Amino acid sequence: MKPKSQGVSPYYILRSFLFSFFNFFASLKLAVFLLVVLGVTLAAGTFIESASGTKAAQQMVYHTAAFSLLLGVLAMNLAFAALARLPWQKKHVGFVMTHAGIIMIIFGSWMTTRFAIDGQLALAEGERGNQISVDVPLLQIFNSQTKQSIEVPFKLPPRQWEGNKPFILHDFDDVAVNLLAFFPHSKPVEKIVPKAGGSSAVEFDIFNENMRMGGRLLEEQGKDSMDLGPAVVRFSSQEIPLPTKKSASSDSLGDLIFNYQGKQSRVSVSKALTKEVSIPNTPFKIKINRYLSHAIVENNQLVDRGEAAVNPACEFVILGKKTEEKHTAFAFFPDFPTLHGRAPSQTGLKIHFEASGLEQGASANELRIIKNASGKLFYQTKTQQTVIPPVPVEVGKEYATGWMHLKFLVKTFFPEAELKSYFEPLPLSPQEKNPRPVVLMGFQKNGQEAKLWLQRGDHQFVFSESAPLHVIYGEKNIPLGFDIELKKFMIDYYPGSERPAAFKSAVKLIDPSKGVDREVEISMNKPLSYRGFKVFQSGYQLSEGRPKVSIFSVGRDPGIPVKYAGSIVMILGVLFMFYLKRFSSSKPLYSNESEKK
Amino acid sequence: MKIFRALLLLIPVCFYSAPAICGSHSNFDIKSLEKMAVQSGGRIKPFSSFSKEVVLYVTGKERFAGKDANTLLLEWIAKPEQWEAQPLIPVSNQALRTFLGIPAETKRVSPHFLSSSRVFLDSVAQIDAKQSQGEVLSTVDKAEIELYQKMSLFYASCEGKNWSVIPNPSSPHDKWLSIDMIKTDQRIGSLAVPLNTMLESYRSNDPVKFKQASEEFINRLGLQNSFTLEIQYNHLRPFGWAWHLYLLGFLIFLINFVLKKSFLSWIGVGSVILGFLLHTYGFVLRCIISGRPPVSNMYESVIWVSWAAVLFAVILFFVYRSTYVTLAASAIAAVGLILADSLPAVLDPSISPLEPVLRNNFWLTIHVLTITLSYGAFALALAIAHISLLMHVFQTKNENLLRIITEFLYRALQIGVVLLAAGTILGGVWANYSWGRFWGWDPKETWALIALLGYLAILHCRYVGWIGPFGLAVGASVAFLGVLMAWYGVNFVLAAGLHSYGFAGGGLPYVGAFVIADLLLVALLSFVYWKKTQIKTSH
Repeated sequence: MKPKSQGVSPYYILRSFLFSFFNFFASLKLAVFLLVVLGVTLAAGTFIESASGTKAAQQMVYHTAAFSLLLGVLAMNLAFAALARLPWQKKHVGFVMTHAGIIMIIFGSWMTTRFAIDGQLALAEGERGNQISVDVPLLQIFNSQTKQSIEVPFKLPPRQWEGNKPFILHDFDDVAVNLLAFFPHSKPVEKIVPKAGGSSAVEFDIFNENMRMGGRLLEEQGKDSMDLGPAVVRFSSQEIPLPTKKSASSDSLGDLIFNYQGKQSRVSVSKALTKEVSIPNTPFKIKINRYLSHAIVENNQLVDRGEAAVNPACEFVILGKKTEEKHTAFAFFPDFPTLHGRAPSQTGLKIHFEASGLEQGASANELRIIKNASGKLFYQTKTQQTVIPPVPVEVGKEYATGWMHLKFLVKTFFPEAELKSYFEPLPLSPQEKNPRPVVLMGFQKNGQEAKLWLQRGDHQFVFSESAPLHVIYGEKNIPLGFDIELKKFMIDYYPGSERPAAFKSAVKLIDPSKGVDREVEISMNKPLSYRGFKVFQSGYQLSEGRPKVSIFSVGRDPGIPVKYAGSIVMILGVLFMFYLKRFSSSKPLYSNESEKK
Repeated sequence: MKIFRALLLLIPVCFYSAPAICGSHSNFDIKSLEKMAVQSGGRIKPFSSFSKEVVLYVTGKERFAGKDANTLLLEWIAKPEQWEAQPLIPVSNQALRTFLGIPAETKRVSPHFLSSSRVFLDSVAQIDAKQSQGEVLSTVDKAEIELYQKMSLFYASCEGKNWSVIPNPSSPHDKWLSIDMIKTDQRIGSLAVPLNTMLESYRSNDPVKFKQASEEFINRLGLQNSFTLEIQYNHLRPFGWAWHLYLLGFLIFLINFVLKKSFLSWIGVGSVILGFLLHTYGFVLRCIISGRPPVSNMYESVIWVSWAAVLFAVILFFVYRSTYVTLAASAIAAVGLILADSLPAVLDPSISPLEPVLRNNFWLTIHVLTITLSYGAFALALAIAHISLLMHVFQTKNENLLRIITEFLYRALQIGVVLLAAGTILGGVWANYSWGRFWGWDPKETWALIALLGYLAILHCRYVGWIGPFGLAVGASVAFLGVLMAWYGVNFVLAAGLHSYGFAGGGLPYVGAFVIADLLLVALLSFVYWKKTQIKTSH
């Protein structure tokens, strides 16, 4: 061996290496191996999809680098196998075309993964949109003071993940952000836990023969009552006021109640009317601009109708050192956000308007669990006009409410507690209708710490006392460059049934840069094509009392022409190979192994 | 040799059964009733189609207790208290049976048993609450809900709540009124007398009066349709007859193995072609009735795939004049149609409207028909492959015959590969056209591709000579698993992805047993063949 290799030049070695490399990649053995590996991988992908959903399958199989590599090697194999038969003869036409077609399809799909855009656009009737949300999660932090925003650079894993992934955001006064958990599917959990200095709380069951439901109430604004439809359960330190006739000459209009950092304070409405008054226990002042006894909205304006306290409301301004917020509070709608628009108040105040001269709660039936000043539990029930006097309550004992054969039982009483809200992971299931992806984030700034659960599509504030950060967990948006306005959404049903037969949207396409303003109809199997984008009707949302929402999928895919051309070339190639073979090959189709060898 | 022939003769005899006799046992004339127009499931259909669907849903069978569906529905509404106590509703889920305390020997329970079971009703209410909170239901929960729905459908039928036969007085395009509304709705109150007379005469066993009253009732409804084709379709049961003819052809071919008479083979071919014509006629009828190509659910696709297998076999027969392909096709088509005809609970034969995304006849026809045509070609290849395997084992000396059969197999695979490749790509084009993407690794797409890759691997192996004619036959048998998965598995096993309009459940144990039995058979034949060649080479 030795004398031989001494005479071989490096060029020859390279040449023979390239040859064997080429031959390996052109070999049919590799082709069959790749076909089998691809088949098995794909089969695994579909089983993952069936068990854990489309997203998991994409992130674990189809969108991985390894999978792209597999397709790349397959394309190489196809190309080399065709090149190995150079110079091509007439009999190779079908074979070369087939291979070229498949290579084109693989190239086209590479272009799709690289350049295609695929997003969603949901429009309510009358709404206008000019950007689509793509299925790429986006965590954004917005500094409300400096108006700076930054994107947290991270990639969410395909499965439930818990750990600690720190990021330091230098542009934000060195805020440290930690990604602590990510659950692709989750459910919200609420639990009462003892906490020194917290408010009192009860956990109870309310039941009759047919139903049983649990409840938990805290002595905090907004968390102290539960509406059961025919009745309200309330937890309070006050007894149910005896039904009294409303005195018409009452000069008191009621109180505004403020909850701030766990403390409650009251401001009398008549005192703060058109005057600046400071709110006790808070750094804020209040000025009430208007009291409305019967507030209704007319022409987008809130106006007062009449004398009787049908819908009492207050319009006021909260004045802080840097802030000035305009609020409206309605006595009958304590859960209505008081601030205009959707943004939560930056003051951290929770405000409730308790109008006087009204029966509190305003519901006919009420079960009230009362914690008196000495920490003992009582209960009272109210049915229409009768109120029973307070009865002592023992934990774990059943009491009748007096309506609908309902009984209740206090399971636990917490003298000092808080309500903990968090999320628990759910197993990935493709049947899950509301997957509710959620992240847990930690924030540290100047020794302050905060933790935040955030659902996809939601936004919240941290450090609201000092310099508030606005955290948004949403989806990446891509501008379209033109506007689409949904004029009307229409749905047809099969006669006499609730099965939709067809749905379509009448939209207006508006592109000022091109002077385009026209009306188009988009329906299933009839998309709108404009400036490289295609707008497809993909779904809809109908909910009682809300405008109809039409959902479009909007996309652009430069790989499509390549894939189509590849498909045509491939199919023609296969036809050539299979059906014109007798003109090009003299070999019998059913040759035996022995003959071949 | 003789044993083999005898065995082949025996197999189909086990499956053979006499054709079902149509018609009602009672002497009541319900002809006019079965033509009555009913609005149900999103379309206007004759009462005979409606009653079949209701009876099928409640009892899992198209006929029950020797009565046809029309009579049953009439009986239910006329004598509810009698039928309420009958064991009508099948319960197969074992956990549910234990929960309801159903004894092991009873297969069915009565609606009354369910409606009076406090345990059952409470638990249904709980599951309902779970469902409305968006929780994912377990298999037992789903079985229980289904049981409840069957019970409810029975009671709704007893009260006439689902008999939506009265065209809406304000507009016939709106929801029709059901006969239980006659009591409350002033506008249709005049129908009460003929309806009551009809039911009363049925109860008092008065056929003459019944005929008069039912005609009177239907006349008063107005807006009737003759439903000639659909009634004809329901009565003729073309697919039922077609499988009898296919089976007959198959048997004749087998007998001819022994007798070798050319007139017999012509009778066999004639029988298969006659079956094919009936099959085609049934298909055309279904197309006209539903106004679309019938390939939207498993039942329709089984029928179409069987048809395609016979179509290719008939073409190959006229090209090569060999009865082996017709033998293979008659076996496949008979199996397919017997399944479709005898498992109505798994393969739902009712004609129902399409999902919005499928309402495009052009693409539906082109994409789905191409794909399912390829399934037909592969099914034919599967049958030919089995013949080839058997021939290789039992007829080793007849090399000419083996060559011809291998050529047929190769041709069937070629047809299948071209159609599957084209159909998959056309699916991509349609997907791009209606969903906005060409390829999205949706399970249905992916399995079509896997099946294609499997056949490509086999064809390439054959091309380099790694496998011979016998290996090709083994490969064509095994690769059909890919087709089975794309066709049945994605909808019935994986139940994931966008092709959800075909999703259903059921039949998995049977399909699994068939797959395992077939694989064992292929393995056994391969082993015998291998032994034989070993002996040959050693000599």
